[in-house]
Amino acid sequence: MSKHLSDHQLLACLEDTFSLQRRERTDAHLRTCPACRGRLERLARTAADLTATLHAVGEQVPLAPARSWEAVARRRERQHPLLLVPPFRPLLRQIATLAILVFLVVGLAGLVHTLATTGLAPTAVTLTPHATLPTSPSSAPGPLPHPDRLAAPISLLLLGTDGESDTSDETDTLVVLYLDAKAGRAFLLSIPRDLYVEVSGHGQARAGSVYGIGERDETTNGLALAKETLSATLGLPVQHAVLVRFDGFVALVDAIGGVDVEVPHTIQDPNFPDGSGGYDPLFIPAGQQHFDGALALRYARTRVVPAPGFDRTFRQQQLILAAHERVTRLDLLPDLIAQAPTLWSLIRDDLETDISLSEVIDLALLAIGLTGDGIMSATLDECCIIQHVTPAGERVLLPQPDEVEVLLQNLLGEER
Amino acid sequence: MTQDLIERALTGDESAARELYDLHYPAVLRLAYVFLQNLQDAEDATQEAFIYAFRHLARYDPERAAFATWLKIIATSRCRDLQRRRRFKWLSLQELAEVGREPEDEISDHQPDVVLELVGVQQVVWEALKQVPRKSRQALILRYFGDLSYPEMAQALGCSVSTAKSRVSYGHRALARLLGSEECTSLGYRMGDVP
Repeated sequence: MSKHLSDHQLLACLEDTFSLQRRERTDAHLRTCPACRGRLERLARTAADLTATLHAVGEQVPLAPARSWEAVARRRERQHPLLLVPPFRPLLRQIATLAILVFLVVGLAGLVHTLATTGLAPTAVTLTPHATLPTSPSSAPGPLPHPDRLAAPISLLLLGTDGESDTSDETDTLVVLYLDAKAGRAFLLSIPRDLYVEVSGHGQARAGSVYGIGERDETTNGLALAKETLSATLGLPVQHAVLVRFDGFVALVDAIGGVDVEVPHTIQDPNFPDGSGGYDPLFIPAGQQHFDGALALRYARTRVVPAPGFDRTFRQQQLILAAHERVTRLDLLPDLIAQAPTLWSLIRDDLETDISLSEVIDLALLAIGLTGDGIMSATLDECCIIQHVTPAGERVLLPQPDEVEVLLQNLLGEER
Repeated sequence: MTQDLIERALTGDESAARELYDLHYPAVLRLAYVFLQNLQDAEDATQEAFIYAFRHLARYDPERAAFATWLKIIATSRCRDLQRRRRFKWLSLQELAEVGREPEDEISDHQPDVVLELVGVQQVVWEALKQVPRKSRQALILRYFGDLSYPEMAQALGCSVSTAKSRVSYGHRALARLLGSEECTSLGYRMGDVP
């Protein structure tokens, strides 16, 4: 007798989603195998019971359409731009969320800048004051302005993904942001996505894949697993996480009136997908260009690599940096805050976070008051990793716990 | 008829919007309730879903999905948002207490606020479903109550089509295990003859 049918195959039988050929094969098995027939019958019965149960529950839900409509109609009116005066709290939430996003952009841009200025193969950890942020002449880092409510230091994991369809579980940007308002200390620590880390319950994996592992795990989720993993790797408690899909960033590009980018090499991509199975050729000439959100997205997404190093990662970082420059140079924050409700509806689907409202507000107040003086940035690079090839042939970076500890002590100002 | 109402609502016809609402509110609220098992939360999610739908009505494409399906996809996403916020709030209470500030929002005690009258097998199945892990439970609900196709489920749950299928399959397995337990069989649930 052939092998028993898998649960997946049984479900497909039940739902009749097989191709005719496979259908014939599974039918043949079912005819000869009472065990699988029994399983299929039980599956069908459970499905029927479940359907009946859910409908019975649904029928008992008390409906209050009139009252409910009133609430919706009231809130729809408030959303109308001409009626203005939105309720206080939602507006505050939007401003705060936006401030966080701008802060993310600023932070990521700063990080990219640090990477760019220290070259592609940094030989040592870079503990540089932030060069791209507005700095005051005095170099001594003063205490950060802090709301009294934010008593304890806080660490936030920023995850960036290019957000493409089904395979977007891979996070290509991982940055830990640490803020200690009381001590006036803040740093950005970039984590290579190939860092090979111990993932609770899943053995070892690359840091960039941890979010996806968590999303596929029934018992946890991507943000939680990523936080847990990096807390253990760094020996630094990471309380919160934010995932930003690149599309969300692009929505912001339009909001700030586009970005100016120096395109180093002409891009010609006849095979750029048009989203419905066909092609929509892309051509961007070399030189200084102004991009709107849509073009920026295509610039970031095209898979052609006209010259070594001029790849997707490079272009995405270029866009982040360009947006940061525009926001700080033109002092666009007040404008952005005015546009907050629109922006919020644009980006809410491209952002995932576990930060509560009150914490977002705290962070936003901190973020608005931040200047570059107090921020350090560093990368987990050759100072504390060694290159390694796994038995499966994967090229990864192994963290050296002692060296990581020293780096963290430096960043936290706890020199021995 | 729905399409006609949508077009009128798009031109600012408030009575058309109201009709659309009345037509689809029951199905959306029921789905949200089954998801969240709390009437107040389900109402909130339903309202959020309709506000979103009305604001983005121009984006609705009748060629891609029925209006009811589109609403269910939006409602699912709002329900998941709500669950995510709830889960986080439970975790952060301790922290909030430590720094001595009041939580900003009243935290609902998340007790069921509808007394369901289910009999026999349905009572057993409902209790078992509550214990199925969250992601699989969501998939089962969308499949067997929302009547969503796998691609639609994938959109609603923010996962791939194959993941949506796996979740349904995994949910079945979890449900079968729960229903096969002594407690359920003693309550009258029969799983059939085990080979």
